[in-house]
Amino acid sequence: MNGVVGGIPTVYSTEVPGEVKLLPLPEDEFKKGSVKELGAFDDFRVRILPVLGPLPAVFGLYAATYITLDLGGKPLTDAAEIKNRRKLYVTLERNLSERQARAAHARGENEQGLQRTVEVNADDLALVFEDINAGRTTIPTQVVVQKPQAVHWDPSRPLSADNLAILENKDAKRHEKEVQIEGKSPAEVWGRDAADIVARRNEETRRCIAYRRG
Amino acid sequence: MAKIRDSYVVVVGCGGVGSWAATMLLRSGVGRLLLIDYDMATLSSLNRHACATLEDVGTPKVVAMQKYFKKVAPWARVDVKIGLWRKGESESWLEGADYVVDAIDNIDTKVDLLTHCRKNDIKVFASMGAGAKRDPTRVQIA
Repeated sequence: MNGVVGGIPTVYSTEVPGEVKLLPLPEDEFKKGSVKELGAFDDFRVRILPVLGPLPAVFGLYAATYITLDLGGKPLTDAAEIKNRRKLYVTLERNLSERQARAAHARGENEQGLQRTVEVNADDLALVFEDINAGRTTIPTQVVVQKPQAVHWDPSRPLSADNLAILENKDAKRHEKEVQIEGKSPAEVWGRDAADIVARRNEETRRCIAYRRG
Repeated sequence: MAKIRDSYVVVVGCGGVGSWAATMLLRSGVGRLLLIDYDMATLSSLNRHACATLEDVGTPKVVAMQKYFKKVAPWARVDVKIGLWRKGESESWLEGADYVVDAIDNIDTKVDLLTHCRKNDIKVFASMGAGAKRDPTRVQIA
């Protein structure tokens, strides 16, 4: 904007607000007269966003930290968005691709055991893993694991971002064997409750993807 | 440390974000601050302002901060401007600053301030909106 290309360090949040709206103005304010006059200036909005106290404080403290370091000659040059996570998403994608190839081969579909580029990419997996599943496994117990795996949840439907589950490694192997190769239904192997949770998560993924690409 | 004590930071916008930034900069040793905000402390400020007290309600936010800062670090020079930063009028307020904090919540003013700083090679750090957020773990610097 205004010809400025970049170069402004900034504090922000990657959080997408939920069901939050501008606070409505109480009825009696409207009765008192022109509500536009309640704003500090003519072109400033009248209603305010709800603010959770500690959050702006956190933003302010980030600012103070960054500036103090810079002024002191030790600038923060390596501040990265949740360091190294990108590798994780690429790994999830690669493992998913390998698993698909293995399973297809075991079912007799993929004679040469070739890996195809899967329909779900690292960015989709980032969304599903971080936002939809909060960095944990989908089915209970929902824990943070060292080597999470994204699996094609329901092989009767095509592989897509809204047909996944995050499992820990040993569960992913079991899913590959029993669901993808032997053909059992996911509910049969993991239980009705788990299947319901996965369904809800995938529904949420659908909504998010529509928002992202819409 | 001496570099920090010799620094001059201008904080534009002294609400929920700016008041905390200013307070911690002061406590960290910044020797000179200019606090800019047109607004008064209100009851609703008390849920997030760094130092406004019940007694300060109805008085300018920057004055409340100046009083408080004097009790924390009386050796620091803390000036205030009770006014709105406006393009074409307020550029002189930033003269000599080593750093400017953009803690403005009005997008037009924000853009004007940032544009001015960038075009004039004034170091600026910007804060985006903290309203309607609840997850501190997602706060990033880029």
